[in-house]
Amino acid sequence: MFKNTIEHTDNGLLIKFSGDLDTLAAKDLADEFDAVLPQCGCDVVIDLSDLKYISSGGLRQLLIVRKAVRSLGGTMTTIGVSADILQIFRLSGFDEMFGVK
Amino acid sequence: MKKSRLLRLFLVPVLTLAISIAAIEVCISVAERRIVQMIDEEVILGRDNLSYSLKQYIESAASIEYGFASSFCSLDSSGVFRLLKSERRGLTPDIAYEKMRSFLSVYPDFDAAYMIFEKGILAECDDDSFAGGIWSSDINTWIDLREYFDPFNSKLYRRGIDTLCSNYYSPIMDLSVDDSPSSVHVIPIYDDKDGLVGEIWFKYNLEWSGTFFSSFRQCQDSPVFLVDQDVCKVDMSNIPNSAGKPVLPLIDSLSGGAVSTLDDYFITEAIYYGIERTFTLKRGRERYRVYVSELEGHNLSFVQILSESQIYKSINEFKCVLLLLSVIAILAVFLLSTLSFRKLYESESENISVHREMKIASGLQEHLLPPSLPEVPEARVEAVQRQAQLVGGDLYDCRVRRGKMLVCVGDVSGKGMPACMYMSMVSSHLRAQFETTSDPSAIMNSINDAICDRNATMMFCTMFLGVLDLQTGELEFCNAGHDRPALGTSEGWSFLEMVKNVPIGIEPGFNFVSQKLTLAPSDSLFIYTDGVTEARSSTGDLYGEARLLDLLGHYGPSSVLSDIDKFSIDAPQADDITMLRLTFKGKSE
Repeated sequence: MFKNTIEHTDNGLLIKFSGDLDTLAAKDLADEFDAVLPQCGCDVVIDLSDLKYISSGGLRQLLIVRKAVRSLGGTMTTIGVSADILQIFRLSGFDEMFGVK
Repeated sequence: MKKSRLLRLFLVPVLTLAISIAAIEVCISVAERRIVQMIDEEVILGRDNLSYSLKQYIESAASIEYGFASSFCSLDSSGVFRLLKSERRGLTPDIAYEKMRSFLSVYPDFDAAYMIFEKGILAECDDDSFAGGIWSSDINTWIDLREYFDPFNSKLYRRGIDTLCSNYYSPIMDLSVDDSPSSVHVIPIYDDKDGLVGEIWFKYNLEWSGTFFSSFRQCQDSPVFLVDQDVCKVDMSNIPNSAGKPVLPLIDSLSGGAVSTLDDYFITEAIYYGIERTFTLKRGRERYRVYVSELEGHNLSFVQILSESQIYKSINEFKCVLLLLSVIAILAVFLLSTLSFRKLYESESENISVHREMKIASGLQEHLLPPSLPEVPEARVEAVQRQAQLVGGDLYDCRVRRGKMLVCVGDVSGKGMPACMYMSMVSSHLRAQFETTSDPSAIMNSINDAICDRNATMMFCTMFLGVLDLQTGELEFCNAGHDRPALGTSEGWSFLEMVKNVPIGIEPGFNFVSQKLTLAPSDSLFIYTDGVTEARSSTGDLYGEARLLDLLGHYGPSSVLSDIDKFSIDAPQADDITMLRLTFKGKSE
């Protein structure tokens, strides 16, 4: 079961994912971000400490967020990336793109 | 829309509605008949009780009256009172008044007593008639009836002339004198030749009987009448029990004229139809239930009239509610079924056309995959692919050109149609590039730049691309974020360590780095997509790399697929699965 919360911070947005981010969950997420991101124009931090699994659809969703944030002059970083998720990021070469901290 | 479907859409609910309305009507009419039957039974029972009480009352009164009459005239064998000439001498007006006074003092239940005698009958009245009376309210005052009306020409008196009878009873209402209905019991007195010489009238108030009649009434506004043979009537139902005046004016039988006729029509009909009857009459648009029954031996009948709209009022309300409810229910069912039918129909037809297009796409996609794997003596290639849907985003390819064999497995993010289209783009670029170069990183760079050119959706493709020199066994490969292939050597199976590259389609201008290794004869490379390792069991467990690695020592792609099926039995395939095994045989002799 995937869940996400969006929080406005001083610097921008703090987004927290938990559960399994599969293709289906990514689809719902896209609609939500479409509404939030254009108003942002700021830095986005994504907390993945409670994320158990990410599919290629989920990766794509992160790529979309990254692209949108960068086009508005911001940066995207991910925090709390677990070893499993980091492995997936590394294998696909996304760890640098997602600004893993 | 077809005609038959139109018919089904409209005819069926209309028919259902008609049938249910008919069924309700039948039920209601049965219920109506039963209700009328019950009311009939109740009315007749009440009427029997009433007539018994009234008869008792009248007969006990009559016996008292007979005693009074016997004190001055004789009763013949046929029960008729006769005033003989010898008896007339003893009866003067004074004596008559005195008899009435003493009678009323003993029987105060009677309202009044009147004695009416024709000219020359009473002693001391040779030239005059006598019509005197006393009211029980003031027994010391004489009343001369002739001051109010002509009693000898009244309908009441004349009945004694028309018929030789011992007595009769008549309900009356003289509004000029009374404020409540009364009944008059008449004892005609004849001479010895059957000529009427006079009458005694006993008047008593019927107010007491109003209690009977009120309880007898079945519903409001249903009049109860007492009807005598001359069609005089008293509306008993409106007799006040304690206070107040009768609401409806009644017949003045003394003068013989109708003060008001509430329902003369019914009374006439009631008399016409007979004594003991229950029937329905129609007047204007309204139907009435009329009950008539005779008060035996007294020339009187009860008539009660119930309006059918009163009887059916509650049942009609019930019927309306029932009809309304059934119409609403049927319409609701009809609307729901029509909507769901239409929805089903539309989604079905949409599904059918989408499915058809998917099948075409699936056919096209098959052309993108190698129709058969190249067979060369230096290497053996096996591949299996199974998509989660009709079309998928996995690709594999194997081509040989100028002593070099290209093997490639790719995985487009996502599934279904979008992934398939993306995959076909990647695939066609790959073929085109391999025609010009066999450098894996150069091929990757070209594909990536072409795809990145227009990729707003951020779909990407992970891909392992290897080029094997069939002569030397040297494998140059480039991995664009794809799952690590496994390498099987004489020392066993392990995953290849990879230089980091990003997937295709994300970073324009990215410079892909390739690696090299040399395969010894019998070495194998196993390339797969994450549909293999991320296949899930029904309990949600992942197939995993370890299980895959264990299997690879003994089995090829087809057996791995069987093992995956065993593992994820009862769980739907979530992702496309592709596996390719390249085994280098060594330089051909």
